[in-house]
Amino acid sequence: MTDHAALLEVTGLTVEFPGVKALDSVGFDVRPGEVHALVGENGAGKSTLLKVLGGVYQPTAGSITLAGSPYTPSKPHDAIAAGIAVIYQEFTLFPDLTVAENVFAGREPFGKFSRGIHYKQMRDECNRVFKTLDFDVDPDTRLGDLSVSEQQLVEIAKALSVDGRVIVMDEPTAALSQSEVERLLEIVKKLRDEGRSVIYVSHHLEEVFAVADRATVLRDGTHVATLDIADTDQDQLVKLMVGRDVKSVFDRDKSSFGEVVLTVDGLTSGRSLRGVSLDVRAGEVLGIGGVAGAGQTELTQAIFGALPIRGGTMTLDGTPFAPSTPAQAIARGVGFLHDDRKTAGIFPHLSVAHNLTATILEKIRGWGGLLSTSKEQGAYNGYRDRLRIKASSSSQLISQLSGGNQQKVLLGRALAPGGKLLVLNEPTRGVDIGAKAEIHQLVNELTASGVAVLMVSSDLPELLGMSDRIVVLSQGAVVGRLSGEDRTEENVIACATTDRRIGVTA
Amino acid sequence: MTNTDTAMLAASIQPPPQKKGFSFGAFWDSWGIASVLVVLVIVAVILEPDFLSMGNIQSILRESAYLGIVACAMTFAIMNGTFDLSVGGQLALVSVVTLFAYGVGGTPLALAAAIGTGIACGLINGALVTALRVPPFVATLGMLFVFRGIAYVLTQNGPAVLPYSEVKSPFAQIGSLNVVGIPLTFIIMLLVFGVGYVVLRRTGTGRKVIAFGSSPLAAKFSGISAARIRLFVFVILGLSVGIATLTYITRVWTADGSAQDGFELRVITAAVLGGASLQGGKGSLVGTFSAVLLVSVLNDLLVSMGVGASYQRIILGCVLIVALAIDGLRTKFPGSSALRKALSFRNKRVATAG
Amino acid sequence: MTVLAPTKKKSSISFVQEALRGLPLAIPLALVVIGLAIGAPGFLTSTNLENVLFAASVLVIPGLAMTLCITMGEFDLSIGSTVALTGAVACTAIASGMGTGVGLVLALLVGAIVGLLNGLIITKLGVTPFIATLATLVIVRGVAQAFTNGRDVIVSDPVLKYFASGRPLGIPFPILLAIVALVFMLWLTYRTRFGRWVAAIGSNRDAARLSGLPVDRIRILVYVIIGIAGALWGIMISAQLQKGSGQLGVGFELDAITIVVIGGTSLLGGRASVVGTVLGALLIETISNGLNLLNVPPAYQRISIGILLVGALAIQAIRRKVPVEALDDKH
Repeated sequence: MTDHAALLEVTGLTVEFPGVKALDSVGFDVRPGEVHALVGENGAGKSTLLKVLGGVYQPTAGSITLAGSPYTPSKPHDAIAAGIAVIYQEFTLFPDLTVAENVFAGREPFGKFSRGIHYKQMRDECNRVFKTLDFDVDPDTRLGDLSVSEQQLVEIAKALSVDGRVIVMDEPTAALSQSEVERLLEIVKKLRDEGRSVIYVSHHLEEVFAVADRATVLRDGTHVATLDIADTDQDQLVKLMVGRDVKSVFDRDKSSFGEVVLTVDGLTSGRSLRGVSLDVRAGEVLGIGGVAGAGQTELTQAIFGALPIRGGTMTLDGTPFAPSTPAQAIARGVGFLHDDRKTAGIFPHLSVAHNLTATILEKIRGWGGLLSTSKEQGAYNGYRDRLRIKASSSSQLISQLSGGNQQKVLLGRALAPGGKLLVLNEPTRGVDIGAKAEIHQLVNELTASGVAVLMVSSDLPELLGMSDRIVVLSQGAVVGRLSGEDRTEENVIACATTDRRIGVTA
Repeated sequence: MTNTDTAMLAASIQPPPQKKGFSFGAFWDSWGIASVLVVLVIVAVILEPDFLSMGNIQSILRESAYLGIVACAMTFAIMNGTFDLSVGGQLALVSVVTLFAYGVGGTPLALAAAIGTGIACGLINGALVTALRVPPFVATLGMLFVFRGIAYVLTQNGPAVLPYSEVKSPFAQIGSLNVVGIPLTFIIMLLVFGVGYVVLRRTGTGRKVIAFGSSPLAAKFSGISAARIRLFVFVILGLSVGIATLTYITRVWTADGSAQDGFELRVITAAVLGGASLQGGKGSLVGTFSAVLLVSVLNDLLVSMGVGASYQRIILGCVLIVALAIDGLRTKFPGSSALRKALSFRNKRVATAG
Repeated sequence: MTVLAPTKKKSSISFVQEALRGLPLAIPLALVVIGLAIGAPGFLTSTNLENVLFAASVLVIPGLAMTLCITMGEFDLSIGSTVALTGAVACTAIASGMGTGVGLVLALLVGAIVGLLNGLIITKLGVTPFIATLATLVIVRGVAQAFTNGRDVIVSDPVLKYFASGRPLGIPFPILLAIVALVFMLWLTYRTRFGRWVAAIGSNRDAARLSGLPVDRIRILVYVIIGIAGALWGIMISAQLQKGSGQLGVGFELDAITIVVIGGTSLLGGRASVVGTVLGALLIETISNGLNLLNVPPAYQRISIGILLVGALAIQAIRRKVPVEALDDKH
């Protein structure tokens, strides 16, 4: 029962920076009690739009009205005061402060006379809000001690605590497990039922279709369409987002598999890995699924020599494999893609070429042991063509590339030493649809040429579409081995979150 | 986890096509300080009658060497994301030991002592940081006290000296010899910078130094050994102090625990003026070199104008601030006008928080 | 059917717990005290212990101000030069007959102005604190030397002397001041919005901006506080020495930072260890005092302080199993 009169109306919004128009005359509206999805590829302008709503950027032209009156925030504080709460993708939280201090950051209740903070009042209010979210955490807990999804709930509590009329969520599920995503979607629906509006920005169209009432598509900074969700489907949205017909993102043809490349037997490390065993064959993609924190990261890092192993053995190509540093793993032919591109992937100050050749510095040596520019250029050009990296030149700073292109450079870095095992962590996280398809295509080409791929993905459609076999982890142990017909979304979730076991001897 | 608005912005918009032609940001990065140096030299020629005399130029170049040599190594360190607050103490200690060694074994022993002690200091710092995991700020701060302390202990009975009788010896000549009119100490500095440039930009090790400073985690997952690179950086700092000592005590001829108080700050100032960013991943040897000369020329100019030592300090401090303000205004991001200004310089420092 | 991930209660922190973060330092302090009590003749006399407390108290006040700054994730290298300038200003005012009150007020004012200068350079010009305060260290030192024309300003003023040797309530003035400062700082850091905002800035500065905190104003205020603390330090030192000089305070900033770091405040910001700073001051001064009593030459004292500093953090870091990659302080 949505009220069709708009609560928030954006008209002709234009945001220009020197050299680039981030938003060009964008207009849409949000009704009270509505979940309005905002979709578009990377670079479409979603982030800029959110920042304008949040008072971080000022528009060059255009206007916004909130409940009929002009809305012109000049700083974040104005947005909060107006009841517009933006939850950015990288949380605006303070790890060293308590949950309560985070929820009330900037608006702590204090005594007029004594100037001291009223902690009891903060605590009580927090508990009240948490109850409505079914969130059981002591407000005095240090925020940094909470998991990512719990921190996100704190962000939502913040928005509720200021009685946000419009709650904006930017890629809220990027770091969540499947069950946490479902909990979040329930909460979003609840917010809507309370009469609040939610602007939901996401790459994951399944979520959009699960929770949104309407969707607005942006492309290249312009408004393409606003549709009722009931009147459209995923394919149409993708077409509108990309502007071209994109064939199915996953195109995994079943090739034949070769010899076993990697075996892992009883791998143990603290409480994060408890006796994990698996194997990967040449030409195969082994997917790793599970709830966030089930041990996938630890597994891949242990294989790569970045995590100490307390028990178990591994072999690579039949010979014992026990790297104690990533350098040793690389020397044995293992390529690695980290899931956190920004802090553990790119070298932000360096060029794309320097980023790519970081793992093959020995190979690009020339005379006298010095690095050879021509060899480096050659190596870069090779991967640029093969991976279709879009950069203006080999010396362009990697920080100026889009997420998808950065990911391709990092993929090049992982492949450059020429190994036979590739370990991928969330290969298409934060990557737009076009580049995503290209990366999947690349994985297909690699396996066709005999490379073995181990892929961790929290993106279920990707996991199911790209993996030949799937291993599901839960709390550090293998709880499911799925192949053939067993590879279903239901089975993955069931093994990951319940007692169900498939293909595993209890 | 911190992020920057500009980083988020840069991640969310497609990069504009690279415009050909002049970009002030790129120019300033590589040649900013060198340009200021040129301007300052012109000013000096105008204001100081004897500036361009052979003796004066030689003096300026000769005096720059010991600061420059260590600043070169410090640039490596800062690009690696660390720094060394103990170089002043190292200089005092190495000076004392070298003078003692000269008294015992002449030039060969003195040379060996200088290099050896310097490297030893570097190894100690490196071990503290890598093996004992002490944060560099604290480790080198502590060792500053320790090195100076040892120098004081060794000179309890009087400062170490190079006797006047030795003034014509080959060893003492290091500090005063001119080769085709160019002071030997300056030539040594040029050599150090030359080697430094090649190592930094054209060797795998140099690349690793910069990469680690840019993102320690990404370096780890690229197979770069953090400990080895850090150790390397501290050792070359020690080595640079050893070489610098040879250019220093051969002019000053005496040393004790109090030698060169505040040296480390001057060295870091030179490197940062030259474009090195304390966040890591960014720096310029050309810039450091120019900055060292800039400071020397400025010093010379002020002395010739009769400006007292205290005012010299004031001016030097202001120069540092102005240079960094220009830098800082480019990277500051709150407020859209500053954002626009920052972006207009191509936003090279997207990942560097102010 | 919704599948909920299990939530669990995490350990919570109480303010007492947080305020006493630096308490582990009490153990080495106790050990040192016991060791000196046994091995150093004259240590346990009331005069000597009072001397230690006195010296520690003088150090505590700038130390507490520096704690605030480091909790914010920054630091101020110029406080030593502020000591010289403010001491010189106070003494010059007194010596030229303007009265002690005027002299003190001027000194505090100058300290605040230096702090304001630091704050403005850092926030408005965007210079990183390390470099900015490095520059003001040099500039203010220059100003102090120019102001005094290189000569000491000798005074003989009973009111000024009070700051050093006065005994309100029978306790030496600096010790009383330190106790007041400690209580004030505990309240400021943990119970006021200002203190929490300082910690917030140190924890995640960008989030602080996005949350609408007046980040620049807070930063400037912190530097002003340090400037005033530096002025107090300058006043107390000048009171002790009965002179003002452009040469005072060289290296003082390192002492202030040392006690904060030993005390457990993280250089990365976000976590203050106020009690730790106080214990750090006590530890340093006790060791200094002990070494003096044992007739250890000053040189060895410097060495020991250095080793102490390094050792304290090595232990901290090893216990946390910090990998080399994580050691950098991003300033």
